[in-house]
Amino acid sequence: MSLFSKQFKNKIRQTHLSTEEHKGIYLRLHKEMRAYPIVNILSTKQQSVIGSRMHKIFNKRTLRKTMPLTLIAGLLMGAGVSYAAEGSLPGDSLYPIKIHVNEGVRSSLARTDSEKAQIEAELATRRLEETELLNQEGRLSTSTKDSLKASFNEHQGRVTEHLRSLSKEHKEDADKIQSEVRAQFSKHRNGMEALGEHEDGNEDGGDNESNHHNGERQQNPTTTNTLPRSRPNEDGGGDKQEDRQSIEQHSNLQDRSGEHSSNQVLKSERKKDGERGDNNIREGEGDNQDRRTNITIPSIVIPLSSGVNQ
Amino acid sequence: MLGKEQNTIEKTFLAMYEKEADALFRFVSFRTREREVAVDTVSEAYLRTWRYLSEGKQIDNLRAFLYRTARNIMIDEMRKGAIRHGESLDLMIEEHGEPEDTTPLPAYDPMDIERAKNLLQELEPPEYKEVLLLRYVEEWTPKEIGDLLSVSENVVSVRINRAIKKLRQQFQYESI
Repeated sequence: MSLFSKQFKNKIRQTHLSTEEHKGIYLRLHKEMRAYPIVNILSTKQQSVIGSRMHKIFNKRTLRKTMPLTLIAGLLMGAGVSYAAEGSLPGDSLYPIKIHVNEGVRSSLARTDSEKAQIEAELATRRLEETELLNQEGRLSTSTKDSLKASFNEHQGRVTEHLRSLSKEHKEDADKIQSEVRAQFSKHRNGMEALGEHEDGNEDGGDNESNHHNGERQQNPTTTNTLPRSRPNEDGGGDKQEDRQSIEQHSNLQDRSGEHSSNQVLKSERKKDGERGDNNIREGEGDNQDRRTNITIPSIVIPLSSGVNQ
Repeated sequence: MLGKEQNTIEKTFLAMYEKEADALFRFVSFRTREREVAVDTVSEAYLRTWRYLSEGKQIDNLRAFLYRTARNIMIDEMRKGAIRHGESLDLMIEEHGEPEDTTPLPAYDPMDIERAKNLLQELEPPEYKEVLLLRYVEEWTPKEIGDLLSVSENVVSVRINRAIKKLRQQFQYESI
């Protein structure tokens, strides 16, 4: 991509809107935006969309109560609705607007994977906050809990998805967001518990190295030879050791899945892993950081979502 | 009384206008050649995108949505036969003046650049010039192009490769 392509690019870029044309479109657009402001959400079409989605979330009785209220509230307040809806909780009349309209618009404005992941994480956190508030007020019914849980899982699944695709190109960013998300979630342990999350899925909250945690969980069903190594290793200097540790874990996983297969197979697999590990150590002298994220991301990401689905 | 979010959305949208309008105009120009039609299409694409947003509907990737809308408008117009092949892009530039000589470097014969540009504009099928424009002039990633065209990153990469190959062939063929 040389000088030629640079000149070529400049040449093509000489085609552009003239100042008047640019301004003309801008004015038209501005007029349109005044005529159709974004909070014009209570058109009949939109009503029916909200209505049909609400079915999934609330039972029929709440629905019948909610619909006219939403309509009246909307007519009275117009622009203020979306603002007012922000603080609502499940069961409130404005809650559908909060989750479908406000949050829908927000997530549609995120462009990059990291923005998307952050917004989804925030929305998931909101579900936890709502759960906590409802729980405090004693309003947390089973059906509300189920829908909150479903919504939480949905957002969290998307976080995982976006982080995974982000980690392909920007591992460090993904890693950073991942630990922020975990920190956010860990502040809402009460909400997690109220949603019926298994506590040990989240107990290491803000801790970056969830490898340790996995290691400990896997000790029970496996042989003793991995025990000493899967002890948490507090200082970060032991990169290589950590590597080996995660390789051990990897083979532990295989041990577990193939419990009935012959020892021979296990041995050869272990040997393969060992070799791969050696290579890693040799190659990886220069880019410890990269290698670390490489290992860390999948192991954090997967427990988050699988823990919730239980 | 207006929500903060509403403001943010409006700002984001207007910022996208400032940022993308010229690029979108180029994108559209590759298909129409009539300046007026191109300008109208750009305008219409923004208006439609805004209306969609204002109805509270969700858009995953705003920029891709905008380009896709513009593309659909062009295709519709072409079917209706409203787009004629008349004025060339060169005329459009001359009419409205080039921005004072953006440093023409001596390393390559300006004629070659000119010729490459013309070849790109003539490149068939239009899908080829489209991906080349987005990739090398607007510098989109294959993934972003894929989002716009609703195809996979792989398909885009393959298409770019084939387009380059074809363009190169024609370039050499003309040089003889």
